[in-house]
Amino acid sequence: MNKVLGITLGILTAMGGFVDIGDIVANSETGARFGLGLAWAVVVGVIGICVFAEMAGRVAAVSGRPVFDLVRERLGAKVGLVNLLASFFITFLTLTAEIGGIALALELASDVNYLLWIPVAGLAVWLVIWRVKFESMEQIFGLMGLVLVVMAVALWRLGPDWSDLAHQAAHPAVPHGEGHATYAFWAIALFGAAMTPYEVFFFSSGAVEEGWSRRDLMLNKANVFIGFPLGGVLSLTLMGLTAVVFQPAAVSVGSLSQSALPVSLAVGKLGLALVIIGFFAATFGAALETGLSCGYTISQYFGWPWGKRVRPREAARFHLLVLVALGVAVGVGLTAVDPIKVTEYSIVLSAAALPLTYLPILLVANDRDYMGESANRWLSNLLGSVFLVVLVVVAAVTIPLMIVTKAGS
Amino acid sequence: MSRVVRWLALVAAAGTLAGCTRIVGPVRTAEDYELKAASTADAVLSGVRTAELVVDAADRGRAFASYVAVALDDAEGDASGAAATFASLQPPGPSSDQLRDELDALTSEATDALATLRITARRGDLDQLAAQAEPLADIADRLAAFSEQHG
Repeated sequence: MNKVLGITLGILTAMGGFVDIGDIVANSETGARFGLGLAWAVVVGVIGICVFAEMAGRVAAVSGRPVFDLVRERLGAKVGLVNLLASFFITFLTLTAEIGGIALALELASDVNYLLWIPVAGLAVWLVIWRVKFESMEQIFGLMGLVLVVMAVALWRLGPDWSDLAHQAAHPAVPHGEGHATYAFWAIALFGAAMTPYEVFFFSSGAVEEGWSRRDLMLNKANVFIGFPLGGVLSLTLMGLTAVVFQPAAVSVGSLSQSALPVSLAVGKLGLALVIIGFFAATFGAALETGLSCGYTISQYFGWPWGKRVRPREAARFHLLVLVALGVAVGVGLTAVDPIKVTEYSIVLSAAALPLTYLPILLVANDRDYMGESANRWLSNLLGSVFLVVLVVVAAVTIPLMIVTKAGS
Repeated sequence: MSRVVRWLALVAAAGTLAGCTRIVGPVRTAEDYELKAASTADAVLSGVRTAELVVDAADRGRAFASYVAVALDDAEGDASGAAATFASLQPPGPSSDQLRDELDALTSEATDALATLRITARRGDLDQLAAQAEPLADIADRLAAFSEQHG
């Protein structure tokens, strides 16, 4: 049982990374528009995040320090500042969206307007961050998010033509009526969503919070290679559901209620209740991750005490940062800005900033002064280098594609 | 370095602004206007077909009342948002007025039907939804035909 609970950090991180509010809607929309023709982007993203999260977790376990802490020390204050500004902005945008996502999930269950739930959601996230132990937090929300497996049950009950779905995934093509630029935009959105920077900040900081050491290197691997692929499978399942239900009807997806509809049709009220609980848990988990990451990144850059493992009085600036970030996120959410649009843009903008996050990780994981014998081996370096080239290309084309395609519309 | 920081901030701010606001591009030709009309019909059709699926789930007892109400509200919001965006476009010439009138009548019929469903769902009368949703199939067919003709 302890071994199962040991990988909840990876599961919680992956839930936030793969089935947060932006992913839920992005996967639903791509499934409805492209079928499984963009499944490859999720698979590539899963491999990429596994490569870099494994490095980040290993750095944290060996050095006892999270990635951001070492980035500034290894690459200097200026490079660290660029990294900090880009990462913090995207993480804060995502936090705003997740607070909205929690409120939207509560609206589905209550039919009370989501704007009324936003302050409640913000307060609940802050209370959990303030009062609940790190391990308990990740176990509760990581495991609660697993009820999203009901989506796989729904897909099976819908009885799709599996060979057709497999064909769509294995032979990606741009459907009739969609442009190549739009297809590329959504591929980047899915890839960016899979590799959102806050995942590695949270994962490596969480490893330090849990006191990982060299003895936990296998635990790191288990977290990465079970947690993240699980998140990827849930993403693909959601894509499959909307491909089966919405694509033949030419329905475009832009709301959380639509994402839940295939489960409702296939499984009924129990399935609907479970998928809404799962959406709630996944978005709440992502709000915890992004809320904490707002505090982690700035505190680690400035060298302030941080985290839930130290007493609040000793990490007062960290807790103040988290509180202010949550307060501002609630304020922005209450302006009635569309949380789904916010998160869609945050994942696309994060794609533009990916090299700033992942290059330093690759450099630090190769530094034998920090890592000793646990520095990267050839396979990690090969994969890391290949992905870095991909990330640079993605970063270069993201903004032009966003403009040309009017954000994939 | 500060230039890089400023550039990043500018790009991020521009992207965020673009994402959080609905920008309606100008329409200069009748062909552009016709294409926008077709894509509006597609968007409204999407809302109508979503509502049909929601009503189907409610009719078979596969969805609870709060979800049905929110899902129908979302479907209506998507459809009426698309219709309002198209209505805000200036037709490029008198020849486009007829197209505008034709689509306006169709989208009004669709959004009225969706509003009726939403009101009924909010009152908890889920067993009446199926009967009230009957016109949706015909509206969907006409929207699809409009889109095909002008797309």
